[in-house]
Amino acid sequence: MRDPRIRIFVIIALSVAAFISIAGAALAFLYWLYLPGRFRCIRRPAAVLFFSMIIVVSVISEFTSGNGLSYFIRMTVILLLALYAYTAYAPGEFFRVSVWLFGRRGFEPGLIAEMSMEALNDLEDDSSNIRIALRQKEVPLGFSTLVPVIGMFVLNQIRRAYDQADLLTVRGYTNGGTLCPDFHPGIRDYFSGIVAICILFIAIFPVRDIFILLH
Amino acid sequence: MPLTFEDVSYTRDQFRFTANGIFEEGVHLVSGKVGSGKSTLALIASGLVRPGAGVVHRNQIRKSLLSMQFPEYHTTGITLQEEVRSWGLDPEVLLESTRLSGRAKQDISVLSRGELKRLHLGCVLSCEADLLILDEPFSALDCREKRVICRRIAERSHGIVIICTHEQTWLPPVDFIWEMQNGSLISCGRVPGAITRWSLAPRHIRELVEQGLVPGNISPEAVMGATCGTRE
Repeated sequence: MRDPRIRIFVIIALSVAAFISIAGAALAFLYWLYLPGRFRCIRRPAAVLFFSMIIVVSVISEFTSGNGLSYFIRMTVILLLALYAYTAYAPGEFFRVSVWLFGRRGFEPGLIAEMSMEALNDLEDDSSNIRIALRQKEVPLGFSTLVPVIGMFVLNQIRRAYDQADLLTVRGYTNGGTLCPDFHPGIRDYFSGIVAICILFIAIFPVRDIFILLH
Repeated sequence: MPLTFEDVSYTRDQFRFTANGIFEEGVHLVSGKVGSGKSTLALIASGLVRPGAGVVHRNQIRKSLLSMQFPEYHTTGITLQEEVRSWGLDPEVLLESTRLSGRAKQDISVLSRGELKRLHLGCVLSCEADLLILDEPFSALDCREKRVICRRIAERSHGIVIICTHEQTWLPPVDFIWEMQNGSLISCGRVPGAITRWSLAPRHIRELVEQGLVPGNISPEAVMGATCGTRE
């Protein structure tokens, strides 16, 4: 999908559909299978961490309320969609979409969203580099190394925030700004959006309900 | 103990890295612009990243060590002495040699980027390794520290040292020069002959070469020697 507005809408619509019902989750999963780069996105190290968390919560949920399997299916699909959204994102997209959506008032939220995405990318790079360093020292990641490693994450983010603030100040930023976003949606983008709406509709109003209403 | 790159390639998004060549024992300089693939070369050479195609032969290289550009990534200790110990070194000796003595119990986060880099390089250069890869070792250092690092690299008596940098002035004496150009590794050969084939050479060295005064090496001392030859 070339148009980030439609991509973001599709991700939100499918996530809501997956959260509402198992049928919605199943359809959203089928849709995910059609997305380009779907398998590349699940190779990220963070995917394993989030997937493990879902498994733990699902098991607890199954033993306490009996809804563990349903929770597992729905949250796994949402995780897959989120990973796809993160992989498909290109720098500047949230900025453009925010300004398109909210006009001048969308400038700040867009800027914050872009900075947050950049911070996420930096965290991913940091964690990969730290793993390299630990392997070289033959030090396992344990409690004794956890404190300095987390400290490093935090300090790096603070340093980057300082640098970013300096950069914005040097460029004369105080608040607000202008941006003229342009988008070039293709036929496939519109088709993807319509399919996502259909899936959301089916998740909200199950097919059997529609037939009952028709009777 | 050569390190051999045999038809190695690696692709990430739009970037493609390719390498063919043999890194013999000695000091190798890999120069190149930012984003040309120097760090990728460092990661593949150290065995931390597997190439998409081709083979990297590490004959008789038992231990390899990579120093990344940002020293924070290597930090696993809370205090300076813990950090030095994590490298298997004696904190007293190491902190003395890096002019950080008396600060052994200080929190490592209070160090400036330059001090941390000094400590980190002190640790790395004190470790025994058959293959030592230094990715941008001169970043965040002042001229005095750069000179110290150059001297310590020159003092290493065995193994392969690969220095990936775009530093223009403070360079140690090297045996071989390589270039990274648009993701491709290019050999310039052995020094001093390599200096004439070094297209990314710093301007002051290039000007000397154009005048027919090829320095014996690329260290500031060797370049100064050639420059003095001009004046004579």
